[in-house]
Amino acid sequence: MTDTTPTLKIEGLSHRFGDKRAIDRIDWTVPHRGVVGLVGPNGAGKTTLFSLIAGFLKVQEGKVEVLGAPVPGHRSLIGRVAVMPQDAIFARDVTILDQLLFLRSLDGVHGMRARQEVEEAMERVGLEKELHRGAAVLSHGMGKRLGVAQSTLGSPELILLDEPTAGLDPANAKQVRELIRELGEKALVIVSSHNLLELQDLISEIAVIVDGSMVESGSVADVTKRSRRFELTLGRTPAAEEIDLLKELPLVRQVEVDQQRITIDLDASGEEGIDGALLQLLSTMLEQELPPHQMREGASLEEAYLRLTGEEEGS
Amino acid sequence: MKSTSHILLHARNSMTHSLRSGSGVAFVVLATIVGLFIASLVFMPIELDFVEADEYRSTAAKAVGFVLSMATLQPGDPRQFDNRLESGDLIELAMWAQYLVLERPVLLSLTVLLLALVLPLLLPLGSFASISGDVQHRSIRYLLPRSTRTSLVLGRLLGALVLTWVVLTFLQVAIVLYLGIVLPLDGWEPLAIWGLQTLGVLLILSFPYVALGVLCSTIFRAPMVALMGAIGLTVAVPIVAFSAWRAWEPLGNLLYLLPWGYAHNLLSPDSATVTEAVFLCTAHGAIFTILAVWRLKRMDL
Repeated sequence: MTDTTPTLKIEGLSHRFGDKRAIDRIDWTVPHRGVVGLVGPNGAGKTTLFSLIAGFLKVQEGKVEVLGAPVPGHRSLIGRVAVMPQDAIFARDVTILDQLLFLRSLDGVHGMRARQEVEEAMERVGLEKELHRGAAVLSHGMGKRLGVAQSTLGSPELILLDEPTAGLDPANAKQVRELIRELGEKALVIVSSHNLLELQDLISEIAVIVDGSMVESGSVADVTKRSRRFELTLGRTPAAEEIDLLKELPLVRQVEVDQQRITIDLDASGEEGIDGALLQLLSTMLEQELPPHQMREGASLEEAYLRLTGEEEGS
Repeated sequence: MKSTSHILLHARNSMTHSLRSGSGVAFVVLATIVGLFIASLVFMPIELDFVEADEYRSTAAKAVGFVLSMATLQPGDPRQFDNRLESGDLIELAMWAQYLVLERPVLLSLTVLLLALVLPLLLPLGSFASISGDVQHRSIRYLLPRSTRTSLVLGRLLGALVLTWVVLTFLQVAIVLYLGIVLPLDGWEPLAIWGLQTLGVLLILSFPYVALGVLCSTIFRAPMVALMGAIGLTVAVPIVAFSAWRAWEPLGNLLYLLPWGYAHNLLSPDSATVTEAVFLCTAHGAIFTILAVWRLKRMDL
């Protein structure tokens, strides 16, 4: 793999389960390191996409290039990709220590060094006391943390974490997020979640998947920049005609009115960006003698996500 | 190099895992109990003085002749069976039977013959969960990023084989020791030599059936279905082959889908026939292994 080769490159990827199209012509390129969020509602296709990248599912249509290897699961990827699957469980009757030592032995690390690494990984997720027990004694949340711990073993270049904090209490979720942040400094970590709030401060890049299609991808700044929301407080309640006039402006996507407060979504993707859109909006408002007394930018990743996934209308 | 070490690691891990999780223990206990039960059935008439050794050998020769005639699809009219053995078309089988019961320690020969008939039904117990267990619980997803699917299948097969061979060796040693100490019809030397030879027969014969269990374990995602599939196929092949053979003789070759068609040759007095049977057994096991690898490599997991 050369320095310019992306860690993950997906072209025209589609996947079907019988008649149902789970992934629909996805193109996605992800750079070398950092934390990338793969978000979407439940059933959007996140786990299927992860399974295709990890090589659990065979690619039916399209191309997935991982770390320069021609296909996922390629022999050259052994030990370079770590995965925390959503629904896999460890053996109930074999001690966790033995299971993790076995995974390390497959990476070629044995003896005291392997044991030390396993103990450190378990400490990082707060499970060091469970090392000598079988997975049968672990709760759902502990099982999740164990899954995260095993994905940190070794020096993987690509780490796929499928809903790593689902079902965790706030303290443990925070601990896992910190761990993900650390991992992102050394590898490319792709984290899937349907809960964007917990990823918001963690990720540098985001991809939004809805009904098997990737509706948005790029840096968080880019994604939020494409739609900016402003909340304006006026001196009076605007008339319906005045609102219609604002709605007709080319860079205004949506206007919501609540008495003297209006919320406006602007399209900031044009050449003049947010400044041009704001200038157009404010000059129209001033022409209508509708000066804003207060203005607050309310755009967030969550709002962009809700808009992209179409959940905003339903909520 | 890495593949070889992965195969060995998977083999060791699957053995210890199966013993700790219970399925391996069930196989070891059941195979040992059934093996010792078969041996005690064979020994009982002599042990309890129901018959003299010579009379036992002569009856056993006929019984073995009958089994061989069935295995070679030459059953014919049962009323003519004795004549055919003595002077008819089955004379070669009669000589083969005499080789097993007169020239070799009779009790050991009979025990191994019966074990060879029953073991195919028991052996899948040691391998049915080798892949399907991990597929069902998706724990295979922890292994796949660290190992190739080929190494996984070969390692699990090796683990199941070694466990099976340990059990068979233990059984055979127990039987030989018992015969040498408690029922010394034959001397130690012929007993030890024949014990080693027949142990080799059992070990070779186990390979295709263990591989069949692993193959079924890659075909079916639920371990119990894999077990039923392996046992069902093992039972169905001779039944279907015999029925079909009666309708149209060439269909008797269906027996060769599994080692049923030639397994008896492993105990032949002719070394060339034994060598051919060993080759066929190994080939059969290799084919099942290749199919299992092919299947897992194409599976969505």
